[in-house]
Amino acid sequence: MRCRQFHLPITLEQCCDVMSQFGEVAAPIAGGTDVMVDIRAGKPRYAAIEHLVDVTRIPELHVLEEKNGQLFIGAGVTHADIEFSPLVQKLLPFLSQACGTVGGPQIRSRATIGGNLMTASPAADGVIPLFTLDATAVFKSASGERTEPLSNVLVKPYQTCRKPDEIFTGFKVVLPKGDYSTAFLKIGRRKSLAIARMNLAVIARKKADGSVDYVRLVPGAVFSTAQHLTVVENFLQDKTPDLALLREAGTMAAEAMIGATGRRWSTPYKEPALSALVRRALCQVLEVHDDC
Amino acid sequence: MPPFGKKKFTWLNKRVQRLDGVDKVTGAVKYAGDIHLPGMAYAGVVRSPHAHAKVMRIDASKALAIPGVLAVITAQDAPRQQCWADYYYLTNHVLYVGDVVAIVAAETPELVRKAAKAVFVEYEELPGIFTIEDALAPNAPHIREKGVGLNAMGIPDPELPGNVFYQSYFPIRKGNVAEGFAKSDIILEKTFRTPMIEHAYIEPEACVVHRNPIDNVYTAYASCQNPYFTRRYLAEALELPVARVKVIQSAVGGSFGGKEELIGLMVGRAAMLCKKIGRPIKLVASREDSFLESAKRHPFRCSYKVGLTKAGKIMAWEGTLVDNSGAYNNQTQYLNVRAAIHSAGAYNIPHVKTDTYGVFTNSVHGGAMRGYSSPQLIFGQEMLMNEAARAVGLDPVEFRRINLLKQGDATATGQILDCETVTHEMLDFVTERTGFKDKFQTYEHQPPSTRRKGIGVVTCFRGCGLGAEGVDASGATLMVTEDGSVIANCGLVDNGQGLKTAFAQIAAEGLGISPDQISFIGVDTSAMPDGGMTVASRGTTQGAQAMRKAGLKLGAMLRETAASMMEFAPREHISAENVVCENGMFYLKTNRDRRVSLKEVCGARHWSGQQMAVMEWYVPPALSQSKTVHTTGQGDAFPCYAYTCCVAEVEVDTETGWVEVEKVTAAHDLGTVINPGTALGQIYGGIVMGQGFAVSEEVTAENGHINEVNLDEYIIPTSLDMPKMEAHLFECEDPNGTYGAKSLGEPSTEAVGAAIAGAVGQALGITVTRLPINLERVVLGHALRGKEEV
Repeated sequence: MRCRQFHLPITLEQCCDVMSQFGEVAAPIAGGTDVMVDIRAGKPRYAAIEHLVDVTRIPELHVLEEKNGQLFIGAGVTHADIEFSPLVQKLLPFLSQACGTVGGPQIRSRATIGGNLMTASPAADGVIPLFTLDATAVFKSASGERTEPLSNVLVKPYQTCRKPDEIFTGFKVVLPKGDYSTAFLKIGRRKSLAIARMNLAVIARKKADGSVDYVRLVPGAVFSTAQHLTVVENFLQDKTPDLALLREAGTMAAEAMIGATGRRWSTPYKEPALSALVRRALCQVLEVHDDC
Repeated sequence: MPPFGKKKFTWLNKRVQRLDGVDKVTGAVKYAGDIHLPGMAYAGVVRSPHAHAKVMRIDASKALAIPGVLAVITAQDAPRQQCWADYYYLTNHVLYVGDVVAIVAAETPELVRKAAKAVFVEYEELPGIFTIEDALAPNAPHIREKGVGLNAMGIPDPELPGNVFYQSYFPIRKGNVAEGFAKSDIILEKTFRTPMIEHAYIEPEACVVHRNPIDNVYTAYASCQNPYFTRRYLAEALELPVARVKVIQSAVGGSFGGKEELIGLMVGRAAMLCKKIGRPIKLVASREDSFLESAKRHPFRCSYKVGLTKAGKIMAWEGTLVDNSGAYNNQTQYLNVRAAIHSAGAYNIPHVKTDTYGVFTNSVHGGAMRGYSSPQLIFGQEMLMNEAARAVGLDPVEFRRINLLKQGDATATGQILDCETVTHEMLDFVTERTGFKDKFQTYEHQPPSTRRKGIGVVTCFRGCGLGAEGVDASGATLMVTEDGSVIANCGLVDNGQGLKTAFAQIAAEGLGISPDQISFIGVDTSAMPDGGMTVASRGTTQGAQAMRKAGLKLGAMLRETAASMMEFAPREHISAENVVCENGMFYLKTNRDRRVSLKEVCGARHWSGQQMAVMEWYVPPALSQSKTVHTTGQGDAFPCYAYTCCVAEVEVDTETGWVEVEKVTAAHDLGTVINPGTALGQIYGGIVMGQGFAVSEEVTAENGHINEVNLDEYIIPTSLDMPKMEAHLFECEDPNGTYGAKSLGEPSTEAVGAAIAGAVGQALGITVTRLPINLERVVLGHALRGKEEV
């Protein structure tokens, strides 16, 4: 890329104006922890970019609030903000944990949750907890606002549905009711500065009789984009969890992966690893003793 | 407790603050990349994208047409293509991905990148060989003229064509292995492999070359570990006598053996451009440049065969050790001397036969990296020792106790260890400290689970200094000024390991002044003669011998003056023997009221025209093994040996493959501890480096293209990954090093990988045969990508 101009809008309107003017050759930048790296590496998605639009000064993008059972997380909220937010720690502990595993402390202090979604890496840690809750993404442009479920946002690896004149402003999350429990597990090659070899976000709620009332599982770095392990969710619905059942769920998850992606070079490792992650995360949220 | 701190020293054995500590912590230190000179231009390189190819056509006209591009030099125009040490500044026949075909100079770094891309190069690709197996395959293309083949016995033969680096072949023949195996009840054989490893020092290579305005001499400021080697590259590239150029070592942000070949080539390339355009040139390696062209730890394939009695005594040891030298090399022939000497481990074995040689491949060159073959060799040796222990029904500690070298024993080269060894004391201490035996037995019978524990022990030794690889000579100067302040200098350098501080302590010990009164100037190659390389963990143990001598000699001269200044009566004679210097004050031993300050003594010497400086040289005694390295390898190979015992404790997650390195306990025999603070620093750093070697680090390549060219993909441990670390310093009586000091820089890392691999092996109930033992290898037993020979 050749950066001809660097824009620093301080209102959402200004930003939308810049995006409508330069859309096709403009890229929003917030923390820059992906954008700068990709530009340096000469990634094709930045080949035509001539304008960088710094969105970090737009107040709306920094909002993190709960209203009427709905959480809004601005696209410019950093991973560190989410990691240490008492609100997120209370409402969605797995989101706080997931954000706490992204990069290292310096990266988490710059990198934003919006950027985590917009980069659209299949391994994005911050995205999968939001995906379990079917969060929606809000896009603004000079011509208005649209809201899309995350499953529509992630088109394919490193590609989103954001239109060139749009700016991603944040996530809307409808919080589940009742007494739910969450888990985030990640396999990396080291404890910090590790891109997920595989990760998994799980949220679940049990009925009074101990059976599964509600369960959602989304793994990362398993499918080409984040998606629910629907087959496992359906399988577990209304069942009373024990270790054998959750083992079966693990096996089922691995089968679902192979069904979707076929047997690939990485399958021999990912198959047992995904089974284990699914079993472990389910044991954690459904309070089943995992003696494996 | 370890026998440490019982020696009587004034400034040794003390936690003296690092001379460069404050400047480094506050950021006052400037590195080569920080240097900016007026009129400076920037340089860059054009690298081959092919592992083996001929340059058919090269056209720089488009690059030169870009405004701001100042010069392009290709192999045809270069004053010299190949350097004195086998590598190429520029070449027309590329032998690995990264080989340089053109160099460019421009007004800005951005223009340099643009110009490099605009140089048109047409290649004709040739078949490449990449692994040790490729190189030794019967029909392999021969990539170097100097390569030789193996004879029917598997021994390198200079009459046969092939890819073996003949000059790097070293045999060891002790006793008669056939006889040893005949006397053995059990014979075990196994092959072990280690990967290519990157140093990953925090500061990539950087240099600035200019004609300095003081004396008009071409001068390089460089992040280099051996400035006198770098000077040779500089002189050669400029076609000037060595005395007409100089190298000033800038602060070095880590080296670990790596800042030698690439930085030398870079200085040479920058000098060619500097001469051509008549302006200062800066050349800084990007992290990718550093990955592509800097030396790597040689990958080794070690095939061992061991013969044992039922009682667990090792009777015979046979080995073939092959290392991948890459396309060019000027290290394997020294590295393999050390490898051969240590090819049977720290064990008392009557019959030994090993052959060690390197092979050429279309890969980046192997070089020195913290250990100089030892981490690779110790890994295989110790894995086989664990298996041998199991085969005779002994735990790893008891087995080692039977075989471990001790005072009076003979090494694989037949050298009798006539000094104290502390090997058994360290083994007892560390195994007791870690509760090794109980843990080992508990883990042998742990219930089935996906989280499995393991504990591993390693005993090893290391010849201190260059030994028979080279000559451990050194030089040093010490000068006093009229106000009593002291300037020290020598040809060895501080690469971050704390050499200046250690040398100041050593000088201070003889002088009788405090080390913080000594200014240690860095190396300017015109100001000091070459005192040998700062390699082989030799700095303190051997390289400081001249500094010790200088301190003692200058100290004696100053005491002489002090004594004469204490003489009150006209006829009174005070001998210098009766004067002692403590903390900058000379006292008469029999009457401490009679004293004179260092400042007064130095002032008196200065104003009366007496000698204010000494330069000392140390030449070590000859080592008999240097005469037999190409035949039997028998004889005295090193002046002394440093001993290590290391225990690692792990928990392995068998489902995800995660290896949690919980704790590493290391005991090191330092002979004499110069500075316990910096010694512990070396050990902690060495442990973490060993952890990376064991579980995560690996430079892999596909058809010669390195997959990991930056630190996001090349996985070194972070501070969060570090295990609990416990280091124990041992001292012993061995007069062969400086004030009895031995090596530590490399010992601190060489055992760790094997200790961790041993622990993982116990956890998984296997013998680990290949490093790193990463996620996939734990779960599957092999890597996901690429074929892995068993």
